Parts: sequence; structure tokens; C-alpha cells
Amino acid sequence: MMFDRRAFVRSALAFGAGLALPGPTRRAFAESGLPEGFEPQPTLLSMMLRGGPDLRHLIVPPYDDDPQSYGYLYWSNRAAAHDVGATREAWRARFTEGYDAIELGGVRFGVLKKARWLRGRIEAGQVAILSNVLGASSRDHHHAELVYEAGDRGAGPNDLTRDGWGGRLAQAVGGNAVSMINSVRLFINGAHPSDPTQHDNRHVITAPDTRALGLWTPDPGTDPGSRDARSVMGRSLTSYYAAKAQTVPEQSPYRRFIEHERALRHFGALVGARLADRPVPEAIATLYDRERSPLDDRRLGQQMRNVYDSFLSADILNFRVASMLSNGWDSHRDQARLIEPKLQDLFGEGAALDTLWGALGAGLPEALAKTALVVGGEFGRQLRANGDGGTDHGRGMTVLVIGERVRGGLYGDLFPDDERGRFSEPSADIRGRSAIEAVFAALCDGMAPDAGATVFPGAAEAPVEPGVELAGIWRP
Amino acid sequence: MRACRLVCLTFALGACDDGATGDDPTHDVGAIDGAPVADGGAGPDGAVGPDALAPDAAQIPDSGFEPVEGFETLSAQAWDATAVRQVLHVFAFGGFAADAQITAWAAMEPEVAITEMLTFDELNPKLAPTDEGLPTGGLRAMAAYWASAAGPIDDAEDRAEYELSHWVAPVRAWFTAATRAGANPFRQRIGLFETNDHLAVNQNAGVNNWQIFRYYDDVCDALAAGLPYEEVLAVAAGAAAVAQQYNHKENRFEDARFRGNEDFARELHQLFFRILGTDEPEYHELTTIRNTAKALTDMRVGRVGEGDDEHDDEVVVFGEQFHYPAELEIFHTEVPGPTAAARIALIVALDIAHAESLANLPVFIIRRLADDALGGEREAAVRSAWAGMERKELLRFLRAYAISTTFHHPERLKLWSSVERNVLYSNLNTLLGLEVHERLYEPRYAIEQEGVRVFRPMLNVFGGQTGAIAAASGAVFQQAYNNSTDRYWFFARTEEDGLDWRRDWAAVVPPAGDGTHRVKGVAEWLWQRHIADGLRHFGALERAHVYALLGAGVDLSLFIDDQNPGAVYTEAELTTRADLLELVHDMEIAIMPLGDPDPDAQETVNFRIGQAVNFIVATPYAFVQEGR
Repeated sequence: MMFDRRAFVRSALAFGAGLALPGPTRRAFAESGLPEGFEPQPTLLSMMLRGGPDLRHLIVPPYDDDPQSYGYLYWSNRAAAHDVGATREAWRARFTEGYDAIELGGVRFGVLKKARWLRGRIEAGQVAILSNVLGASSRDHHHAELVYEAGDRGAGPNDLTRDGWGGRLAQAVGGNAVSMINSVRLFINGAHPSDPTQHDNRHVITAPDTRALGLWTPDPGTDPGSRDARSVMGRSLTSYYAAKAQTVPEQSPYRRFIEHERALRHFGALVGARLADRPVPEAIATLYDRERSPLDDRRLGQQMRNVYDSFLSADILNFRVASMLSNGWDSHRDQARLIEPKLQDLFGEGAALDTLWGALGAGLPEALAKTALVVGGEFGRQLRANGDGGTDHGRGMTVLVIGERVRGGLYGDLFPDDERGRFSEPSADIRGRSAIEAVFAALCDGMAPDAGATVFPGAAEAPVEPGVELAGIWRP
Repeated sequence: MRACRLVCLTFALGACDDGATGDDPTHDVGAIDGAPVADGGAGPDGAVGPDALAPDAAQIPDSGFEPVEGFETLSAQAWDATAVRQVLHVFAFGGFAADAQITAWAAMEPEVAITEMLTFDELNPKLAPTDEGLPTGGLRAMAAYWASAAGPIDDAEDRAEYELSHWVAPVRAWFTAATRAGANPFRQRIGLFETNDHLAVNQNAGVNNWQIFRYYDDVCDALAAGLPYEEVLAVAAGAAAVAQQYNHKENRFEDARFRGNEDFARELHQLFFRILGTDEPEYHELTTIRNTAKALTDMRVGRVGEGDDEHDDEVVVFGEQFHYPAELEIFHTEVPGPTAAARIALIVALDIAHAESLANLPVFIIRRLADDALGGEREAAVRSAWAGMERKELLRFLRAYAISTTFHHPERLKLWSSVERNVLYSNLNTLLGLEVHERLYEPRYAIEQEGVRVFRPMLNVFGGQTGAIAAASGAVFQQAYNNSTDRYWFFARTEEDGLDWRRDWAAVVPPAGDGTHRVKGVAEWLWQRHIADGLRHFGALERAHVYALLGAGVDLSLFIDDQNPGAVYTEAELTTRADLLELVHDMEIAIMPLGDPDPDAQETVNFRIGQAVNFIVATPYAFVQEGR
């Protein structure tokens, strides 16, 4: 996708500059190590749940005795995925014991008790639940993920090297995207200046370990002319890359390694200095501690640490977009056993997001105030459970957006009435109604005014579920 | 650990003759990989290395090579030692062939050479020579050998890691097989591709060691048997590892109802054969996939063993009792069969002929193995070649591709994945069997530091890290770069505590025509060995840095001006400033005392070569192979 980046950056910067910090938060801000006068910018965190997460397992209708009701049909058709028997008592008990009942916008539903932090955010009005989101027409993981990450339903299954909407957003707002994992999701691939089949990732920083970001350099105080083997190799490669950078053309397949070297050398030194005397908050450190972590997947804890550190280094990194990843959501079997620990890891009390939010709230409240987290996966799953205690691939999906600036509520029919007649249809799934282009464009608008139209030039024509006002997702 | 025996473990990798002719004692660029075959040299400790194995091209009988229409074979002139090396780097983790063998292959007709280079046999003495009697019987048999006191590993704890029930056994066995001469590296490379990328299963999903070993060996054996590719994939589709991965081992037709999931029903078509059902998505979704799920019923995986040894079996029992009892329409064809095995045999025949598979499967294979930039004419050629093979045999296809103008094309780009790059450089730096068994150059740690684990693919059933993923990641680059600085010792060490071992590059680095080892010649040989680009990218800048490390044991900046450490010298300066030109010239003719009887001199020169390797494998050219 092409856009006038320069003009847009001007407006984005103006937008950021207008967001002044309230006085009380300045003290914590100063303690963070961020430079005086630095204004945190709106930042989008993306958590990709790879595999096709069944968020209809996270947010469920209350059980209802009426056989025609959605609540009855849901539980009678999905009991196996909840690992409960085929009785009304079992369904009722499962809802009562497994879920906290909430009412939002006149709709009653349950949130998995293992996701208590999320429930708290919902009740605080900070969660937009976007239902019936329309992504790929395919139920193929790869293609659907590509569509979701690109933010383009027209993306083909072989468009493997194209741009992603997070990368376009970072470019549009003149910021950088930080990958909190070893790999770079297509989501943060930036638009290539001339070739729409390719990407440009000069705005991407890969930081799976923010506390060890960078290339090896001698300890300070080491003799600059040391003949120590490490020093020799360090100087040799440093000097070589500095010279090589001057001659390797932009189009060269080798250029990306030159850029990696430059980025790591530049950001590694600065971030290392920034973080050197700022220990990881104990609660976050616990998340990825081998012995003490409460998480099923400790790597998630390290991603939280990387996000926290990125905020601490936001001025250095020009941090505007974060890319995170959780694997293993393809729940064809034993769904409850498979995904509930993951949901708890993410949304549980004392778990990953709760801890991150707590640490940011304590240390960087002004950054937290401008942060939004989008959680989703490549597709939703089928309406009814399969014969293996799981659910098979669907298309329509649910996306969650969480943040203090988010106007919480339901954006789309949580349990569409027309689904009641489709539970018995073979392979029936959620019907997508609000296109990803429209949904993600609305999220971009929260990062800078009119960013959505820049990142998604065709978003205005994309379908949106009747009655849904995506523009209202942000508080003024 | 330590105190390993040396008997029967010695093999020299890389001969002493490749590029060693001519009157110029410093080796002209053109001499590298272009020299006629000379006598083989002696390996360390006086053992005769595989250098002596270089065959006489004229004696090669009819190779049995089968051309594939659609691929144009490279001319004999273009088929040179660099071409041979590029094939070996891509398809065999570099292989272990001596330089003499590489030169000999380059001198043959490419059709003849490739049939020697790429085979699925368990052993390929020309590609991976050994004087150790490795057993046949697949990865499992090799693991048993390495676990045995009768094998080459002395340390009992080390041996235990190869025992079938040890949690790390498949990983340990695969790395040893892929990084040691004797165990055909082409077989291990394709075995990894099939079981970790294309037909991927994941130990994180509960696939146990018995199932992994069986799966790996069955797939490799099927390839070695020359089965049509769809039959190879049928072997995989009927494997217990796959049934465990997707859990269709629980699929059954019972009480007049299908019970199970449709996970593998989808992926059999999509991942194995690359069919998405694009032309008729509803039919594909509601008929083909659903009926395939029914076809995959009653594939039971029992429990075997007792006590602590109890585990899920490594084979599937195909039953009739819970198998779907009627014909099933799949791809508009009625598919009968009393068992899932019978149905799979019919389904794969439909899959392999499906238009989407014909278009996508060969492109997937070549992209993943050899060409990240595949497109345009090359992509068309790959499709045409695949479609034109009535009997689709992977080995025939890959051999024809490997010597084709499609592979040897200037726009081809192979981005190395973490496994490919690290195993490649490990192999190119492994000179002795002892070094394998002592894990001196085992790349597993470095690979895992880059976020990659064998048999636990990053993308689960969608496969492991690709070259494109690796190249895009600054974190992968960071690890690789830091391996050459912070972990410089990995390639540069010359001895190991408690081990009767010394680094000995003299065994493989060829001398110049005057019998000496000059900096320039050694540098070019190292570059070509690791980068295999015919020295195309070994420019003035690279040369100056490598020469300084080899000739002076310091970095270029210190060598040029020890009062200005860390100074940057550009390529333009190095090619125009008279003082620098003179320094570089003096460096390149300097003699390296390789083979000097003085142990201190030996240690110094071997260490310097290790540092030069550290430099070379951290340059941008070490992350990509570019076609010619």
C-alpha cells in the first residue's frame, strides 16, 4: 500500500504534541529515566494468538433452559469443548462455576473466571469487544494469518513478503515497530516504497531480549587497542560493517544484514545504557523466572518485560507499535485443557497482562494511558464442538481492544440471533460482518488522527456490521 | 567425557590440492576450485583421508540420471567447482567431500556428478567419507550405535543421550547424523525438511521419541526406495507421529456418527499437497474435507511397553470396526476402502494430480529448500518440470533441478535458516570424527539461541523457521554476529581441556605451488569453502580484514595503525591509497607456518584461521547464497 508518509507524519507529530501529561504523572515519568520533555506517544500493542483462537470460549452466553435460546444452543452444541457432560445440569454448572456473569450494553454474558483481569478491564469500561470480524474467506491458517496480519482481505496466500498493517502504521506515524519475539511477524512489515509485493523494514527493531539487545562490545575501560581475541573480532567486524554500509546498495539482498548491524549497534548501546540502572520490576521478572513464574508459558513473561523496557526506552526506540505472539491456539481437541491455561496466562489475575499493566501504571502511567492492546488471531472457529473435544476452523472472529483510552463495549452482536438456526449445519461458523480493514483502520485512528485512512486507504468502503460505530471506539 | 579414542575416527575433510597449482605462490583467484585433481593428501596422524577417494571421471559408468523436461541442464563449462559447492551447501549442509572430490565432480558431466552427490542411501562415501563402520537402519540404528559402548563415544553420560527413551535422543541423533561424515547429509537435510517443514510434527504436541524416529526413518526409507512422491506422503499420512500430532487416532465412526476432528483431513490436502480448494471453497470445505475426516477413521495408536517405558506406539493399526463403511466423495471422486490406509492410498493419488498441487507443491519444495526469490521464469520452470514427470520422484526432480540453469541462476537467492547456516558452518569446520563426538562444533546451542529447535518446529505443523524468517530477524543476526565475537572460541580454539585433540587445519588447507601456505591462498580457500561464490564477493575490503587476521593475528585497524584502533578503512581507500595497497600486498604474500612442527606456531596459525572463519561467517554473505 502506498501513502504520503511525509505529510502524514507531520499531522501525527502534531497530534502527539497535543497530548500533554497531567501533572501528577510527571514524577513517575521523571523516575523512569525518560528525558525531560519527552511526550509519550500513542502506542499500539498487538498480541497475535496464532492458530485461530476460540474467543467464544472466553466470552460465552449464559446457560438458558429454553431450547430455542442462544444460551441453550451454545451449551448443548459446545459441551464437549468445555469437557462437560451432555446434561443441562452440567451446562448450567459449567457456566456458573467457570464463568463470571457480566452485563454490558444490555447483553448478559460470561467471562472465563480464569481471565479475571480481563473481566476487571471490561467492567472498567476499557475493553472493546469486536464481534463478527470478517477476515479471510479461507479457513487455512497460513492464508488467514496473512490476511489478518496484512489487514487486507485481498491478500493472496503467496503474498509472503508483502507489508503488514502494523508496519504501515509505524511508518505513517513516523515511529518504529518493536518485535518482542525472535521473529518478525508480517504484521510489522512496512510498505515498500515502490514494490507492493515487498516490504521495507527499516523501522523494525527485533528485541526478544531487551536486556541483551545489541552486538558484543568490549567492557568500558578495556584498552581500545587490546589484542584480546574478542576485542580483535569486535573491532574487525565493527570496522568492516561501517565501511561496507557505504557500498552495499539499497536493493542488494545483503543490505538487510547491514541494516541489522546498524540498528543493533545503535539501539543496543543506547537501550543498554538506559536500562543498565533500571532493574526489571520484580513482578515482571517473576513472570519469566524459571522457578517462580505463574505462567504456563514463561516466554510470554519475557515479552511483557520487553514491552515494559520498550516503554522505558520509548524515546530511543521511537516506540509506536509492538508485536507479540502466543502460539498454540489451534484447538481441534481437548479445547478446555488446551486454551484455558493460555487464556489464564494472558488474562488471569497476576498473569502476563495484569502484571504489565500494573508495572506500567506504577512506573509509566502516562505511557499506559496512551496504550492500546489488540488481541486476536487469524480466524474464529466453528459454532459447534467437533467429536474430539475441540472446535474446527471457522472464519468470522472476535477481536479485543484494551486500553484506558478505549471506550469499552460491544462492537457487533455478541451472539447473533441468526446463528441459532445454524448450529446444526455442517461446519457452520461465525459470519463475519465487520471487515478487518474497517476495524483496524479505526484502531489506527487512535494512534494518530486519520491514520486509518492512510494505513487502510479503502477502509471507508469496507463492510461494517449495521449498528456498529467503529469511530466511537476511542474516548475523546 | 573426554579421553576419546582416535582409532577409526579420523577423516580429513577437504583435500590439499584444490586450487593448489600454478606458479603463483599466493594462489590467483582463478586457481581456487579450478585446479585439476592432484594426489590426495594424508590426514592427521598419518591416516589416509578421503582425499584419496577422488574418482577418475572417465571411469564413471552410466549414471542412471533421468533428465526432467522443463529443467535445462547447466553446460559442462558452467558446471564448475563453485557450482558443485553451491549444490552441496544447499542440499547437503555442505557435505564432507574432500576438495579433490569436489574438483572431480566439477570435472564430470553434471548429470554424472549429481547422481553421485545426491542419493538417499544411508551412506554416501563420496559425499560423506568415513572409515568408521556406521550401521545402516536409519537414524534409530545410528542412535543405538552411538548409545552403545561399542560405538565411538566413550563417555557413558553422553551415550545415554542417544538412548531411545532419553528426552533429547531424536535431537541429539539428528545433529550427530547431520554433522558427521558417514551419515549421508543429503538424506538428513531432506529428512529434516520433510519431518520438520513440509510434513511437520512437533514433540511439543506429544509426539514421542519412538514415533519421531519411526517417522523420520520411514519417510527417508520411502524416499530412498524411489517411491512416487505421493506414496512417500502416504507413508507419512499413515504414521503414528502424524496421528498423534493431529489426534485423528481418535477419529471413529461409531453409533452411526462420525466422531473426531477434521484437522488432518484439511492438512493432508493443504500442507502435504498444498491444495487450498481455491476454485471451489464451499465444496472443498463441506465435502472434501469433511469426507476426508471420515476416511481417516479407525487409525488407532495403542499403548506399548510397561512401567516407566510405557508409551504410545510408533505404528498405527488400521481397523475396520470404527472405519466409515461407505464410499466417500473426495475431489468429486468416490473413494472406497475398508480401512483408512486403503483410502489414503487413493486420496494421495487424487491429491498429487490436483491442479493446485501441481502448481503449488513443487514451488513450495524449491522455495523452502533452495530459492527464496523463486518467481517468474524459474517458478514456471519448476512447475513445468514437476507437472511433466509422470511418476513424481523427488530425487529425480531434485537432481535435475540442482544441475539446472534454474538453480544456477543469478537471481536465485537462498536465505539460510538458522539450522541450515549453523549446520553448514559446523560441517565445514569439522575435520575429525572426534570433533563430532566431543561436540566441539555442534551447532545445536547456537541454533537454539536463535530461537529454533529441531523436531519442535516454530510454526508447529506449518514448519520450522524459514530462511526468510531468519533473514528478517535482527535477533538472529545478533546471535550469529555475537557468536563470532563473544563466542569467538567456538571456531578459533585450538585445544580443549582434558581432550587429546589439537586443531589441525594443515590437514586440509592446500599449499601453494611452492609448497607454502600464503595468506592470500589460505584466505581465498577459506572464503570459497564457506561462501562458495567463486570469490565474487571477496572484495578488497573483505580481503584486507581476513588478511590481517591471518597474517598478523589482529584486526585490520590495529595492523594498519596501532595508535588508531577501530579505525574504519573503506574499500575505496584500500584500493587507491598507496600505503594501504602496499600493506595489503605484503600481507597477502606472507607465509603461514601451517604444518610447522613447532606446536606453538601450530597453535597460533590454527587460531588465526579460526578467527578468519569467525569473520567470514559474520559477513552479510554468510547469510545468503546467491545464484550465479
